[in-house]
Amino acid sequence: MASFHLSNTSVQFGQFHALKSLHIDIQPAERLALIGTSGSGKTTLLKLLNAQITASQGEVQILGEKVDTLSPKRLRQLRSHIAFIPQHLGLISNLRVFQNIMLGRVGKRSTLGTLRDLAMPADEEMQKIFDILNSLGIAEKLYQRTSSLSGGQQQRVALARALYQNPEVLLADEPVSAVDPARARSMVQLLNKIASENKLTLIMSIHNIELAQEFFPRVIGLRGGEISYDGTNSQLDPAALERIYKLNTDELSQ
Amino acid sequence: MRNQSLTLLALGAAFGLSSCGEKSSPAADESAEIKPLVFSAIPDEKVSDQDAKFQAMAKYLSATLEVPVEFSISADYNAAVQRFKNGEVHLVWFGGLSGVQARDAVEGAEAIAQGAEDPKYKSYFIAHSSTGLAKSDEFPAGIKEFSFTFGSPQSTSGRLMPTWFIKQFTQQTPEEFFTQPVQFQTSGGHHSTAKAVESGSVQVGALSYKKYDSMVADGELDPTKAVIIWETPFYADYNFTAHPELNEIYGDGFTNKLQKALIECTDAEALNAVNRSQLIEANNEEFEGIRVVAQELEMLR
Amino acid sequence: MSQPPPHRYPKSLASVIGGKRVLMVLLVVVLFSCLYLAGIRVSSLKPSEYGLKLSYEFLVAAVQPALSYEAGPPSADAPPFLLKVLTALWLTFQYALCSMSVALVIGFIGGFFSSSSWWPENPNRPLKIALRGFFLISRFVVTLGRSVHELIWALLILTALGTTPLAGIIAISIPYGCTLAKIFSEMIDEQAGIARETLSSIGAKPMQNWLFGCLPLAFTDMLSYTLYRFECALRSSAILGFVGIPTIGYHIVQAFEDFHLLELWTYLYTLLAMIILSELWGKSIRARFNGQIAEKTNACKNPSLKQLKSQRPKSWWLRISGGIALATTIFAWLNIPAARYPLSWQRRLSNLESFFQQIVPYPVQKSGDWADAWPWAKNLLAESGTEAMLMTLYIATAAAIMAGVGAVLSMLWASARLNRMQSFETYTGNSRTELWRRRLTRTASHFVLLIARSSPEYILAFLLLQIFGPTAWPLILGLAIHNFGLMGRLYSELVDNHPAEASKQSLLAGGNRVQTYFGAILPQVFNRYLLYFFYRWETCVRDSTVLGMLGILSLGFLITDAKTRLFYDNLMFFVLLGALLVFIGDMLSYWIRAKLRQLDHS
Repeated sequence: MASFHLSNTSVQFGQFHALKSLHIDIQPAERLALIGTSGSGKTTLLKLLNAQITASQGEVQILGEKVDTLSPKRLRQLRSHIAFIPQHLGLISNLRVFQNIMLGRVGKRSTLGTLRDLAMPADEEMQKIFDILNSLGIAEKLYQRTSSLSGGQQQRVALARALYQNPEVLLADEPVSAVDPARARSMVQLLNKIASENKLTLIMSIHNIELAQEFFPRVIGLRGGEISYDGTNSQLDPAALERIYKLNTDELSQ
Repeated sequence: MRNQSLTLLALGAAFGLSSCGEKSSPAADESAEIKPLVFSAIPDEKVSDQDAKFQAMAKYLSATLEVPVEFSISADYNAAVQRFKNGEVHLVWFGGLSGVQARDAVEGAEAIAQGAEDPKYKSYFIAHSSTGLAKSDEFPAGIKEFSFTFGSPQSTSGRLMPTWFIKQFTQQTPEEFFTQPVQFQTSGGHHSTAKAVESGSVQVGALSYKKYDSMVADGELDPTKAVIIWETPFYADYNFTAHPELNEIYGDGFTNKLQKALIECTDAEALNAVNRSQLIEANNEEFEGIRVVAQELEMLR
Repeated sequence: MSQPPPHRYPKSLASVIGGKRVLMVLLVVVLFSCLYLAGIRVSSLKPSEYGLKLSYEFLVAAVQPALSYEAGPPSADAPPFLLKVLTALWLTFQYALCSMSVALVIGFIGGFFSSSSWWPENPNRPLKIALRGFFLISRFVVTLGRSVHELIWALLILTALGTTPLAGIIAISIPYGCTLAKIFSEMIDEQAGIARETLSSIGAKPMQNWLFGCLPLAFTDMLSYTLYRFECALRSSAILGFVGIPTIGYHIVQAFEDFHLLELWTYLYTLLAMIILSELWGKSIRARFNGQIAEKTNACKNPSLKQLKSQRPKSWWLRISGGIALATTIFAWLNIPAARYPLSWQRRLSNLESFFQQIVPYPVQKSGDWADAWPWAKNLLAESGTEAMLMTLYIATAAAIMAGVGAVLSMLWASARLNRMQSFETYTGNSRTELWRRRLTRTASHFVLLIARSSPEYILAFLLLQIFGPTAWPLILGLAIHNFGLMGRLYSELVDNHPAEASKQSLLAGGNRVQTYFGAILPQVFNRYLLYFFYRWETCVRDSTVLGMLGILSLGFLITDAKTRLFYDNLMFFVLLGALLVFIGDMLSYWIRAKLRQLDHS
């Protein structure tokens, strides 16, 4: 059973075609990097994968189930197995770091349960969170207000939340863009390590091509809403890159 | 930790609400103690003065009727009528219009006493000396051009009857007659009218003749600065109106006892409260004329 | 070869209607047409001889506020003057506190039902109808509650229920609670998009979304607004005195009636002090949530979980404030002054009943046919209603425009950023005199703005009426001054917090601060200026419905006039007319602000 299956899928916003006739199959425990220019549809594709947006045409299957047959409850259950780190990180700035991480489990807990988690967290859970933060190097920020952290630290908190969620799939939209290159490399390495250890499906959009080539067995390059490249990282040669990233004069003057 | 302050505040609100409530003052307990008779008056003058003066009347009534009597000031004319209507006060020194309004609102309310001269009440039109107007027997049509003020909007001698007479003599309402917008004294009644004209902040005013005369007599008002330029024809004004519940609370015939106490009052200090030398009997019919005027002027239905 | 497409700059409202200059001219034209249509002439701004004399005495009295009774104690057992002042102050504070506590409850419940972002995704039909029903009813009730000014609520409650010490509290809680409900629901719904992306995308239910996403995100704004509302409640509580409830406004009127100007100033000073203190307290609370006050971070290198927990950042100031606030609120509720002559509940009920009978239009009372209400209503409108409505509108608009223009100009002196030596983090030369001059102007203008916004507009109008006589000018000026202070503060926050980069260029090219303000900053923040302007305009409309109660022809005057004649049906008609005006103003302002926000984000 594929983790994700897209068949002839298009997404259209009004007149604008964000994604055109995609055919993608993603297997469980695959690690894949999404690359492409800004506006090529990377974020749209990621959002399609946890049904934040629905396809205008074609079929989308998430974890073996067709999206348009999902009841709200079933969708929520599926989503609780998919961790999503949006570009803006999706952290609640007023809450403390540990509370934001606690919210990772929101799909698996009841409303009252989440209230209890935020207000009076259990000790074992706090220990788990502490360990996760430790592995990311920001353990001392546990009780700080999230808004007081730097951009790079907040990205790590978002990552921690995704890890705490204990998902089957990890979707990340440019999660290391605000972090300095050395730290970025270690984070991508860590993510890949955790993903391969826990057999998670990892789909990350990234603009650093070297990191993509180094760590991800599979790379998909998008251009103008279409797949320009879908293959292994070793086969990603300069010609393919040029096809993905080529800027012609028309685009330059826009 | 979620913000504690807000949680605390919200808890406090919930707590606070559950323990709120009106506390009754001991005076209102239904114990063997006799309920005090509370009476009030229309605030046709300075409220602080009124409060002090009416204490003497309260003492006199208390001694004569052998029940505790208290005076309670009303914020404005309307408040006096309202409080009489819902039984908060049982005796009020009303003006002509307010008395009619009150007796209409409460069935069985009786006007029981009035000043000896009150059946023949009148208003003065007064003007600041700078206007150059002098006293005349004719209606002073010359006041048209000047700034004009009534007393309290609900006052008989300070608004209702002057309006009536303006209409009678000029066939126009005050709004049509005066070229400048007409003013009212929102507080202080006749006292404020007199002071306003004396200081020149307004050029012409209408007020109760009694108030003017007593202010001049007390040296509070300079008659050369606030000159009487016209005296209106007579009308009935002012009365003590009694609530029908008095007989229920204090026993049959109490209202008659009250009337007797008022009429036979010789206590100068008490009479000073209402600024009269003597009180005589009154009845509701006397004020029918006021009713007719009020209905004509759409002040009453 | 095809033409390159033209570059598109983000639009501003001004560019939509032909440029900022046109807009400014338009505003000035609107200002003067309002004044003209309202029959107000600039010439009547000249006070009479009496007015001048009064202002002089007034100003002289300002420097010697009374510490004891001016004319001796009014009666043998009167309390010392300062005690009387403090008692009145406490009553004002007490009413404000009690009303806010009720208003918060109404605000949360109303806000909850007025918000749609917590609805379950696929409700079955009966549930959907119920939810939608609650939503619409809640929005309607909240709008109605907000549209009637608290002074009018007080009047209605006193008339319908008789004298009761709870009248003031209920009168303020209703409109304040409804305003909180509306604002809270707006703030929460605004966060719905982000919360949905954040939490729904990982499987949260809508209610979880609402509770753990929207609420925390909106929390700081909600708290900030509540603190601001409390300050307003103090002012509203003070002016309850004008309808006979013995808060500080009542004593101010009495002091003026007795012409004890020194006592008057004591009341004014203490009122202002109370309001300013509460604003400072509110600021300190807000600072702790805005991150302006940095929390302590751990000093040691590798803390263990236990160490982290014990070194959790906690704010003692917040805890103390919260505790004192709670204790004071409970104390205030337990000590509401008893009614001197309490009425039985049967009495109050029958009073209420007769009130409801009397607010039925008179022709309908007589004939029993509701069709008679139309000619009655039309008559009232034609006679005085329409004129009064328009007058109210003119007063509000003129005041708002004056305040707005004043506030825009005042930034030159009041904005901290423009008046530092290091404006925009740029060195601007070295001069001791200029440094001190700027400090002086900054402090002085801040002080003026502070006093202006802390003074209740009703009291300002009352005092100005005595000086300028019975024209509409005192009402306009009173409103304008108060709003000038408020807009000044809002604008200075905008100017000071705006990113400095673009504006810097003007200074770096050799321009002075005035040029920088008008040429660089103003164009950038203009949309947001307008946003605040229309928000304040809406409030001015609401306030001007009651200013007429001071005696100038407008809705407020018609309301007291109807009360004088005991024509409660007319009274209700004018009250509802006022509510309609406020409602229209709200809608207009909302629509314009939505458009402005769109333009801002494009």
